[in-house]
Amino acid sequence: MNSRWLWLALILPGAALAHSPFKGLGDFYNGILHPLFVPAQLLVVVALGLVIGQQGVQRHLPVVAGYALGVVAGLTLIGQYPQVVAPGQLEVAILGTAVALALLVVPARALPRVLLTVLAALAGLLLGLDSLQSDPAGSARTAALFGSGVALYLLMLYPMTLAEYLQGYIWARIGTRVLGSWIAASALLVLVLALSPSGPDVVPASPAPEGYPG
Amino acid sequence: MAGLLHPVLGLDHVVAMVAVGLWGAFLGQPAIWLLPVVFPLVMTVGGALGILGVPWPAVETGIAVSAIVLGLMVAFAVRPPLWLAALIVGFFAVFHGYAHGAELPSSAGPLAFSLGFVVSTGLLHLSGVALGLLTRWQGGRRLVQIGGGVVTLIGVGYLVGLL
Repeated sequence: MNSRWLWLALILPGAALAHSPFKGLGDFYNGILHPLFVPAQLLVVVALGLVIGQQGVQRHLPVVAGYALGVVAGLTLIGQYPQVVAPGQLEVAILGTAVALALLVVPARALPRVLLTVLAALAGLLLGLDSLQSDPAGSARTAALFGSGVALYLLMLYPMTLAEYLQGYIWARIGTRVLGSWIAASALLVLVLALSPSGPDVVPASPAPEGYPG
Repeated sequence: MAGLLHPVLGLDHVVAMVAVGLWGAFLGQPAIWLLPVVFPLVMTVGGALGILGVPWPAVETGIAVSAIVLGLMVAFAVRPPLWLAALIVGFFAVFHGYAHGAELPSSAGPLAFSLGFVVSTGLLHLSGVALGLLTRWQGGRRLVQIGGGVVTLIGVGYLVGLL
């Protein structure tokens, strides 16, 4: 990502407003909202946070770093080469990642740090690549992608911190696993739908509210 | 919202899901949490069959029978081995999943719909588990068993077409 464009975007919010999907909100804040309006992304982020929290954050800081690096790499790639991924092209991969991560939450077994780091980096890369909004260009796009990056990172920290904090309570440990099974089940069903013969016609790419491009 | 509402709009779905939680409470650890974890995952098998349009016989009958069987398990406080309990619950989960999965392709937001009905189903299980905690007291135990009987009667009502 070109840092000059980033700084320019941050110091010129007026110019950025012109491309705002939510009028008046600004590209940076629209970027922040993007993962919240794409359920598949949200499932990946929550599942990853839960699995890291379950495993213990202190021992798995490289996993967090791997995720952050993956997000940055994905955002940089899509920022520089927007045509590298068509909108919605990553839907299946993102859902598959959500299923894989959520299924790791269910048994709550100790996992190799390397495996988790690779999975987290892959998840970050996919989410970063899926963060392009169709409207903004130039500095506005950079600001929006930067906002998405911040949101993708912060949104992962909440379930991670919560899951780790609650590990001391048996009901919360069970709750975390139940949540994992819910995420796996719902993502798996839509994955089946996406892969079924009628799938591509019925699974919308990055579902988002009206006027908010995925 | 449609996904959240789907499981609670059919009384047969509701009572069967609550009975899963009640039975889990009767079976104690680890069934009390294992059944609600296993159910959504096995339900996806039925959901996938429904999505793919694979013909599955007597879905509604299967759901009614699930209420009868699970209700009876609670009413008579049956305690089979964990694997058998998981097998029984898993078998009926396929019928419930099929009914929900068949609706998925026609929903506007499939992921939101599936998340909605999975969460709704899970919350019904948790309601059953919460009610099942009454089994810690002798009087509560009787009450839960009576609840199992009511679930069975509702299942019979659906099976014979009275409900």
